[in-house]
Amino acid sequence: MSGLYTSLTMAARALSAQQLGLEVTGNNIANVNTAGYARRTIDFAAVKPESSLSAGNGVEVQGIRSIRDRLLERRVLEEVPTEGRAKELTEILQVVEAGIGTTGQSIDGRLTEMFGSFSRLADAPTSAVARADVLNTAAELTQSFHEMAGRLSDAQRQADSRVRNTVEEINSLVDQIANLNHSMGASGPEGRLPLQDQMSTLLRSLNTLVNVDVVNRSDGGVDITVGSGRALVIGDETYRLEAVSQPPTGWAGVEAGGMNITSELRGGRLVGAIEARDVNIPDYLTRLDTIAYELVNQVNAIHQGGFDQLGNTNQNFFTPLASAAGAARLIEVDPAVAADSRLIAAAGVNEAGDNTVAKTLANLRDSLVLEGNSATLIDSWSHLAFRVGRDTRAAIDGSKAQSDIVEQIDALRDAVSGVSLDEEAVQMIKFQRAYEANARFFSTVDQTLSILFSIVGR
Amino acid sequence: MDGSRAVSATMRLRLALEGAAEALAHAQVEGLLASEGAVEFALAELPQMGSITSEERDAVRRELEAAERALLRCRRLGSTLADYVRLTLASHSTATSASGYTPDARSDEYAGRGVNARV
Repeated sequence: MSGLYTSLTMAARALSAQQLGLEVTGNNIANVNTAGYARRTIDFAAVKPESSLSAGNGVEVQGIRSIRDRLLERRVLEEVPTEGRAKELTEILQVVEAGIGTTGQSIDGRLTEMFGSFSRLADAPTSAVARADVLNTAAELTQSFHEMAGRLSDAQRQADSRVRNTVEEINSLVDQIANLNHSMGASGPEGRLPLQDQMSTLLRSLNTLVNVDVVNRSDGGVDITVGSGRALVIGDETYRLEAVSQPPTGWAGVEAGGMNITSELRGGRLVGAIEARDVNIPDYLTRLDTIAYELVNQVNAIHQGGFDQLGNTNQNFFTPLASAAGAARLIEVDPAVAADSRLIAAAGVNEAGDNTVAKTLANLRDSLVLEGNSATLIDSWSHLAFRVGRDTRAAIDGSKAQSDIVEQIDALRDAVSGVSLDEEAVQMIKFQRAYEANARFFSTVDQTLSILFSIVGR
Repeated sequence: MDGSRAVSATMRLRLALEGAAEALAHAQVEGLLASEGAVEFALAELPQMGSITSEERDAVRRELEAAERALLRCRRLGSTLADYVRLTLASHSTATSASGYTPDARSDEYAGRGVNARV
């Protein structure tokens, strides 16, 4: 039978427990906007009765826990690298897209103007004004090619610079995580709670930069590997990444312990920058070079068959190029022609007033000379501009879709905060049912859209 | 049905789908439930085939493309949601998991004892 002393002890214990509960609650409220903070709960337990006739010995605190849904955190860590890659790609490609210019105002416009000047030369093959016009439009066109190649090369250099900066950011995070690992090993279980909050934030930041694998340690810390199991953090030891210039391009490759692991990386901003630098922009540059190279070859081939005002034949209009590589950067009007407009070959025979070659040059505008003789020079430029727009759109859509998913997981986490596991499950099921109600219509919507697209076209 | 009605009908569908996607993205159950009716209504209001005027064709196409993007977003988010719900329920031992995920022992260990101290 419990005495007065037992009752008082029980009441004091209960008060102490409830006071601690209030402190925990206050701490949760104070940290409501702290990034990475996981709410704490306090675990109470009934104290075992001394005998079967006792009503019990009240309540005691078993411990304070940080509510972390490991599953949810794992999902977030899985999604953020894809989001980071798409965001980086979007940021770089948007700059490229802006540099491409609008339809009719970029290289396509300059091509049209040059072919127009050849057409005007055909109307007045002996006119000095028409000849000067041809040289002006050709010079503007070559200038546009140079500027476009320069803009693309600048974007590529900026992407490379972002690769190098991102590697530095990764190393900084790796150092912080190793320090946290050290602190966690040195502190008790309850002291680890705020450290776990910081760790959660750091891991998310790191995964945004590069996709890493995380293994939890028994002391609350983490070991981290990247690529094909290359160690980044083991306990409080760090293995830093390095951005090392690789021959022949000089672009930075990512190395771990002296090994180039660039091809092993799978996601994150780092991969987005590498992809833009090594895949997207080189593709655009190659296409631009091909247009410039083909323009030089086609114009020269026609021009060589004509006669200038001095009776010369077999002359180039543009300086010949050895290969397509770098053509957009190197294209220029032949210096002799540029210095003397009389050297433009407008005639097909050595007679003043003949305009055969000038007409043929003007007609080159509509000749299918590229992409397996299926596209004109202007078409090919339009395809390049479309490709840049399409890649940018795809990156924006991908970025938005991933941000949606990450935001959704975050929102779901917030939505279930402060409810019991049972309530959480009920909320989840309610949400699932609401989605299923909508999803019933999705296939109908899909079919209807297909039908309507068949009417209005895509 | 004339062109302007075609545009407004496709716009309603697009808005309904975007509403559903937003509700999914922000985990708003009420918004999701409300969007069901909106999608159903928009579907019923869609114009008859072949009666879209050539002047309205571009506007309708733009709405359809936007609706298609919204539908894709709904499906992506819905798929993540379904995945998340399945795994969450499995982890709380309230559903069987097809993924082989082992329910967390913590849920049994603290069953009936954990008191949520957050207000």
